[in-house]
Amino acid sequence: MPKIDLSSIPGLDKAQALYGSLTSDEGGSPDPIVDIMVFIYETTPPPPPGLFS
Amino acid sequence: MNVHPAIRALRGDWASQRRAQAALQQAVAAWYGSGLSRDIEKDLKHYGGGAELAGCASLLGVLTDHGAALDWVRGLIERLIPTMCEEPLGDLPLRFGCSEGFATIQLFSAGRAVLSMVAYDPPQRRSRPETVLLVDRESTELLLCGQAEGVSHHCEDPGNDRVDFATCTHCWREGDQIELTAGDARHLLRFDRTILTLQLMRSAEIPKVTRKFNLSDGRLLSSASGDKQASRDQMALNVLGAMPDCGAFETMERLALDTTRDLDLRWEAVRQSLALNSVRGFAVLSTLARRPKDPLALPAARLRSQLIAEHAGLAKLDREAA
Repeated sequence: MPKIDLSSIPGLDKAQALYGSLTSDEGGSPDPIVDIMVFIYETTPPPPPGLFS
Repeated sequence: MNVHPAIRALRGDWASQRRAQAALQQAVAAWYGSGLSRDIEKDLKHYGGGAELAGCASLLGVLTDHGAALDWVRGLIERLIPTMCEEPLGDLPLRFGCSEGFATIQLFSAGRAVLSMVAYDPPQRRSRPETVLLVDRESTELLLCGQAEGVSHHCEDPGNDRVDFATCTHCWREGDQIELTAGDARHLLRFDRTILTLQLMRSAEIPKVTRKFNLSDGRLLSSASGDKQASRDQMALNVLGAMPDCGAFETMERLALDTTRDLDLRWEAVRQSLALNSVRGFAVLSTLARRPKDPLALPAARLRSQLIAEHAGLAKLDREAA
């Protein structure tokens, strides 16, 4: 079965930027935050029910 | 990496770390423990839960009575500043933010409401803002110190892609109150000394999109989600997607199919599920495409056709299912 690259899957036509990105000085890129969260959760997984209740 | 000698020394000195933290916590706790602070905290809980501000006497008091507000915040400032001078490496035990010309300390937060102390430094450049940001929230602000010339903008329907702004000029002075709702914005333009305000904000129950407009012609320039939790959840999905072995497919599937959730969040769940497991993700996509009343049905059907055209394995799967 094919492996689909996430970046090749389009977003919605009327997709909104993330909360706060219009006022953020950094331009609102979430990538570094996601990288840090992945590092933390791989070291210490979040307790149940995880990231979503 | 350059580490300041004082910070390097503090790293190995746990007693000093604890002393600095205890001193700051003690300074803050004394102020939070006062009768007025407790009353305001209670009021903010009501207001953050949807109550009218008029029914919250203590909170309303510090947002209308300049002398009372100043006495109240002075109680915190006069405790904090000497303690911070004595313990400059202590960490302020309050939520705070700092950027060029702007600093804020969050005093209380409850439900949808936040009460903060906000300082603005005089602008370095004299250029006027060319855009207006409209956020779906109410704001009541009391000017504690300083005075400023500025403008307020109001539009009747911030949901349109082109709006007409009614603009008023102001000279705000100490003790003035500035009230804004979802269609309002204000710009502080000219002031010579730092301005300090006490700012109460309450976001809408289901916040609409935050929108940025061009001031000269009222044209919509960009927009961002007004829903903090939905954006947090989108980032959490990115985290789950980046940890392929954490067994998150069911969570992604549940979010994608849950029509009560934010649309952008649901679509992100679709994208992440396809990247995680193309066959199971394709099944989620097919389910969505078959739901006529679901706002994601059309984009799902479009993406489904695209994937069938691009991936022979999925085309075969589709033929077998038919």
